[in-house]
Amino acid sequence: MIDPTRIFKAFQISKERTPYSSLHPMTKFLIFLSFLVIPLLRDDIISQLSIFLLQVPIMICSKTGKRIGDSLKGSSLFLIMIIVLNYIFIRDLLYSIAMGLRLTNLLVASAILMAATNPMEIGDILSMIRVPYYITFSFVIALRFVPVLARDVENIVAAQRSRGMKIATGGLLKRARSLIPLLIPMIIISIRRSQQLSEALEVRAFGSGKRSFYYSYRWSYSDIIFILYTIICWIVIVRGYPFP
Amino acid sequence: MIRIEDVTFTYAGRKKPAIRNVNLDINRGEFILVVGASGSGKSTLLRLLNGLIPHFYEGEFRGRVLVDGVDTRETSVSKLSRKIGLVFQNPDNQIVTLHVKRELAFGLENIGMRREEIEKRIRGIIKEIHMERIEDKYTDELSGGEKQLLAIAATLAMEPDIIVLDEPTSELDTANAMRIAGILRKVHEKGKGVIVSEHRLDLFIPLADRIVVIDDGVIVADGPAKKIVKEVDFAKHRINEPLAIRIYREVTRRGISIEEVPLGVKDIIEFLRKVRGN
Amino acid sequence: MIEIERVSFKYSGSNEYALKDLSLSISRPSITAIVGRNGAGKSTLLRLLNGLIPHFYEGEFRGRVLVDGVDTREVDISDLSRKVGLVFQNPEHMFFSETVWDEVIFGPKALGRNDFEELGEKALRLTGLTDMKDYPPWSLSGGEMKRLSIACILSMETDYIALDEPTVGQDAVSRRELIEILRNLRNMGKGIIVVSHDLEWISDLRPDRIIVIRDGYVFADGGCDLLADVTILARAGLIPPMSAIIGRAIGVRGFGIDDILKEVLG
Repeated sequence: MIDPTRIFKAFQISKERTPYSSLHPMTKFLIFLSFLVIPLLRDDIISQLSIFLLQVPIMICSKTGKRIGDSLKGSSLFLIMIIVLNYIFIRDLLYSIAMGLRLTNLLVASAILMAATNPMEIGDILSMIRVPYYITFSFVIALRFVPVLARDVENIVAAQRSRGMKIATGGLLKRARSLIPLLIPMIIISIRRSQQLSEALEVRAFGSGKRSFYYSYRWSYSDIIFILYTIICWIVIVRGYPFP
Repeated sequence: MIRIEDVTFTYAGRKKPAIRNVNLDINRGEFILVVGASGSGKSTLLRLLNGLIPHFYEGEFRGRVLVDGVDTRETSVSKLSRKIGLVFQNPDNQIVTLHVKRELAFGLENIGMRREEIEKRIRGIIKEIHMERIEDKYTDELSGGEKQLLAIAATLAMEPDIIVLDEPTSELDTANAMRIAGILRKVHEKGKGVIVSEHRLDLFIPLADRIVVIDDGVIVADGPAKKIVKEVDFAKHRINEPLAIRIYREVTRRGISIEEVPLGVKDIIEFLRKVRGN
Repeated sequence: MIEIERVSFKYSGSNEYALKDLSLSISRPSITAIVGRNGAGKSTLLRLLNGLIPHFYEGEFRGRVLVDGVDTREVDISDLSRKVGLVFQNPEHMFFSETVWDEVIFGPKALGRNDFEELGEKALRLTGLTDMKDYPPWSLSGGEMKRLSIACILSMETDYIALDEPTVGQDAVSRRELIEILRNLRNMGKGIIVVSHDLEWISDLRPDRIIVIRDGYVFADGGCDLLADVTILARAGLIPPMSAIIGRAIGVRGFGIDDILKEVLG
């Protein structure tokens, strides 16, 4: 059913130090944005293939190659579907394949950001681009409590199963009703946690005025290299250099 | 520094007041232990001190609470939190960030402190509490005891005059409870006020200057620790009797009179050796 | 009888074995206390007793657990719950009904017992909650909720009842009540297993047997005098109860403050 441990793992922060991981979050964000936009500017196979190849060095620098390979394998069915659908409506094989590749490029760009970036950095990126603090904070708090709530779910299911509870089989309504012994404790515990959390925020002066930011990042030579690389990618693809 | 004047508070939706006609004067630098059975009003009393009652909890509030002369109804919890810190029972539900250092910085960021100043405070608190071992950890890697330690450190980082703790060790094991008691002793020795409600009396009574006993919403005793331990019937108020009291009772029952009640383990051992010698 | 035979278990995703070649038998009636520091494997051991391991918690499982001769790998958790009841630390993980009564009859009903009303009444009586029958579970005090969580397992009429850290967050009165309830249950013929880090409370409980767990295996297995054995406790990473420390310092062999005072004062 729900596997709390897998949810756990999806949010675990990877602690490997790679050339990519020590970049300033803004650089990571610029790379991400760039590789979201660039594929949308071209619709031929050669461009999309080139874009993919241009992302490979980034994958290597962030050591995300294997993980991205796995998730692409997982979405291969979906990608093939996109190609087929495009072909049915547009009857141009090369174009359809290009669309599939374009989607792949977008997925790769997102995957690099997600897999090799610390969730705290994502929160910091949001702050840097001036997203209002209460939104960034909600994001961070959610990340903070996902493992906690996953553990709550695990404990509740264990407790109820120890009372002989079984998930009913059969009609949807019957099954839904049999989940009540799981849902109600979950809701109550979550509400209690959020109540206590709001008290804790109050006593730490949350929301009392203008906030400062403790965490600071440093720019380094790696940032210059990666940004230059990204600019070159823009030039190569957009100006079609060296392909006229 | 804090004066509670004849306060009665009833939570919204309830008929019976949680605390009735409470009067209390708290000076700077005191270590006060608040004891009482579950439901006796301890948590309510503590929440008067930093304004959570009446600002955060709805209900009928009578009387007033003055902090440094200012009525808590006329200021905010945020402002009061710079003078009076509050640490709660559940370690998880007061940690809001993903990393230890960010947690320490959180309260200071909220009051708009400059980055260099925050860095200084964080360095200071890590040293003071000997947290070097966990300073680079992510918050979800911490054990319950470590989280509670972090919560206390994050509160102390705001440098309040008084730190209030609501049953801080109730979900922890003995080793962690002792660690926290040790930190609170240190904090008190440095001149801060400590107000803590606890069930683990064996551990905390030796640290306290003063004990306040609350039963059914009313303060039934308030005085120096040694006096309270001698004079108050803890069992009658449904409170865990610390060993000190059990020993005192047994000893006086057999007609041996003692001047001072031995409170800590060392004192008890010394005392029993003397009694045996006789 | 519960027989744990050379069990090793590693949670999936973990690098370490939580239990290492652990063997233990528990018969009834008895009160067995299982003590050990955080992370020693006490909770994991509890989960073996009703099949949560290996059916709910995934990982590598070696060895076997027999409950009255039945291998826990071959039977479902819901069947094992007829023999072994597990009371979890946080009562709030269980409650979902409108009244105490509904809560207490949920277990026996789930097990298909037709006499669930009788079982419910009995369970409430044994835990002193008969007057609170129609109250919502969350209106109960901390101690009452703890007793209700026990009642919910009691009504399932299992031969064994295991409790995980029953005294956490409980006040003096509740702790004393718990001791009385557990003693009554043992006198009724049940096998009670308590996991606790609270050695002072265990001193007052006076279990028939104390098992010290360290690093996933049985480090010591004996009677209450283990609580006065400061050396063994220290080696298992446990802080002895205050009475034991005092006793050792003044050279008195008693265990529990009453014994010590008796020896010292006569």
